[in-house]
Amino acid sequence: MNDVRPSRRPMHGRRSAALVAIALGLVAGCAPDLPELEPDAASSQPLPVLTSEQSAAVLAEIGEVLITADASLDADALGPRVGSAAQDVRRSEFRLSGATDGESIIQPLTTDAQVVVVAATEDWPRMALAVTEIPEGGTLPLLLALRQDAPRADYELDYWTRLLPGIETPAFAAPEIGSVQLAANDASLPVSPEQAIADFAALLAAPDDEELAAAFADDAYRPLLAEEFAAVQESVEVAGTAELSASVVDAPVIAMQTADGGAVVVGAVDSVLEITKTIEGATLTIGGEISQLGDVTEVEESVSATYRQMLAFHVPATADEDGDLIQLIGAERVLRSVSSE
Amino acid sequence: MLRRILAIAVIVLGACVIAAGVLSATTLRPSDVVTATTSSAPTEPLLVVEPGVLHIVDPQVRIELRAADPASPVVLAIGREADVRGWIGDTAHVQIDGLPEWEVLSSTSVAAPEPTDVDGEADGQAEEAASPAGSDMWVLEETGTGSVTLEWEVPEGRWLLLAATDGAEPAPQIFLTWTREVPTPLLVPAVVSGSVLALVGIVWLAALLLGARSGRRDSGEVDSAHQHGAESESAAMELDVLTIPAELQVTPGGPAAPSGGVVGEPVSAATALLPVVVEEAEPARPRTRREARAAEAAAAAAAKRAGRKPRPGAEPERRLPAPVDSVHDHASEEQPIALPAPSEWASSQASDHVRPSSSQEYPSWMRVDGDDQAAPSRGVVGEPAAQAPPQAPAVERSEAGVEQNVAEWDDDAEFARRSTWRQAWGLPDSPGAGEPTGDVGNEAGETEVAVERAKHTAEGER
Repeated sequence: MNDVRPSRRPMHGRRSAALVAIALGLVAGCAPDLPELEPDAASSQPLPVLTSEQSAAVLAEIGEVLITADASLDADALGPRVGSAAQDVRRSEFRLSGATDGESIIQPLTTDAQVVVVAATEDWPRMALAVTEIPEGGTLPLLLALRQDAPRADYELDYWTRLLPGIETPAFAAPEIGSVQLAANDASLPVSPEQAIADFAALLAAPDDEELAAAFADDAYRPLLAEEFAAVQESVEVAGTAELSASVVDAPVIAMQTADGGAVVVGAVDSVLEITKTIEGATLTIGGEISQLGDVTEVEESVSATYRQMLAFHVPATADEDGDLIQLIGAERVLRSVSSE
Repeated sequence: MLRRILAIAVIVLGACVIAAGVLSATTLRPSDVVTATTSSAPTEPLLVVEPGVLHIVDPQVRIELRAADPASPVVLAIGREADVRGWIGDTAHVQIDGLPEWEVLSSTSVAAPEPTDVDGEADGQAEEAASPAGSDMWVLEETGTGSVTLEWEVPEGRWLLLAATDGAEPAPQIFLTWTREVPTPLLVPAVVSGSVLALVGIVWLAALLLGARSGRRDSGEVDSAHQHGAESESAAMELDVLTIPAELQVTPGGPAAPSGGVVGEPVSAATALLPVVVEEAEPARPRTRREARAAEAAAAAAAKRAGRKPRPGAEPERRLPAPVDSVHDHASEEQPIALPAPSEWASSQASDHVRPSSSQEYPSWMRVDGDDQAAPSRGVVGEPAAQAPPQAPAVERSEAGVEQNVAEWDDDAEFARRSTWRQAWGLPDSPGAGEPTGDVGNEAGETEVAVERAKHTAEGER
């Protein structure tokens, strides 16, 4: 028996050492491996700047601002969410409505969108278009043009136009893909966006210019202007003249590429109607909203009425003799100011 | 014993391995939930989590932002990479870009570039401190005071997380919590190997124990057998029967003829005169002390019953030489027979374990024609005693042996031999006779002796 006991101690020590090694091995062996960092690869194409939820949220915010401004008839409330051009238009509307005692209606606006077209870009400014439902109290749907100036800026309503009756808006790329956003001087079009607007402005100033008119398809807006101008001319013909001039508003042009490669261009044009008395001693009366806004009833020497128009065009992909001219698809006009001398 | 300890050690080792395996899968198993954070709170006003980090362990992540000041606003914003990076611009920020250890997030600090230009003009306007809250670009936005918690399942794509307090103060510290998979690869192998070890040890131990038990059982049987043998021997001793070594026994069948040399079987039927026991002894072996002692004890007992004091020859075996001498002396005192020297006696016995082939080989005092003093007495008592010898041995032995023996001895020779033997041992031919007598006394003596023997036999049996 005695010879067994000494062998127990080394066996016991060996056994405990083996157990410790096993335990350590277990603990070390069971620790999970650290995972590798595996970020998804960057998309080859730029992503749409807004998801549908995001665009809906943006439009909702703009709508709330519009409603707030409408309720208080204070255009300054539009500041954070409405661009300068549109803000001026709205301000004019408020003012005109006040001057005419509500005779001049304030355009009902809505931001409930049927179609939202967003750009796919990683740069700024970023643009988006939205075609809304027919607003309550209105008759025609609206075409809204949104723009984000800088990363830390919000999307603003730069322009809105009422779609002209009988006009079908062109097709765009799917919102999941996003549309191409065009620069103002984009050369891929037969006419660059800013040139198209300039041309139309010239046409507005010289409606009888056939050459200028040849570039544009017929639309329902110009006849209205022509009719109005003819009436003014007839009324001042005896003692004065009426002249039109137009200029492009210095504001960013929004141009989104359509599915067929064309573009929808939205911009603003200011047109001025100047009535000049040519016969001294004659009395030239002015009525209508011009007299209400300008608070003039009689033309002393000249009265200038400035109208601001927000216009949307569809520029075709290629210029074709058979058709496919620049088509005005939407317009909004307001008497912005009256000055008399 | 050592083997048993080893077997037990194997069992214990197997149990330990099983326990270690179970422990590794339960208590020693690392936690399923892991929370990682930066080693220190950020100092930059913006914190950005790089793509991939949010779902590095698992797409389901719990994000917690804790500001240093529990009253400050906290903004958590998640957006696309271009949006977030565009929003940050050139502002100083800290990037969370990896998981170097299970509970540590690695971070890189990105400082605002120096607002210098080649022309010396300021490089654009420095980004003013602004809170990212409210931007149209975020897909997810959470705001709170002091801390913000968000549970999010990271979708595909490169998503960045932007965290800030108010845009000017240091950004909050981020804690990301995931549930991870913890494998237990050692559980099944440890349990299996531990079970095998324990089973091996149990089987081994059982085999050892059973083997030991059967070993003990066998040895016990052997011991009991030994005990039984000892008992039978003592019983034989109690029968108080004279035993004579096989080589001294004169029987028709010879010393080799006795049936198997059974111990304790008195040849009583025929040898009524002189029941003897054939001792189970190897004829070639010299007479041992025990045998001598037993013989002397029996002789002493017989002497007691005969009324004679025990001979000194009945003393313990140590005095064996003495009894021989005293026998020798006694014989020389009381009887005129000259005993042969012990050496001659022993040598004669040793040399011939089988019955002597001729009468010459018997000791002289045993021989019929021996030149000793026993001759006359033998001759005197030869005839009446001639009838006696053939009785017992002739009946029991084979005829061939009888014939041989008869050829060897005369009838009266046998009687003479017996008388001589008695005299050699100092025994009376008859119970009452002090000296060897002749013919008359012999018959009576024999009868009386027979009666005595029968009595003693009966007593012994009782």
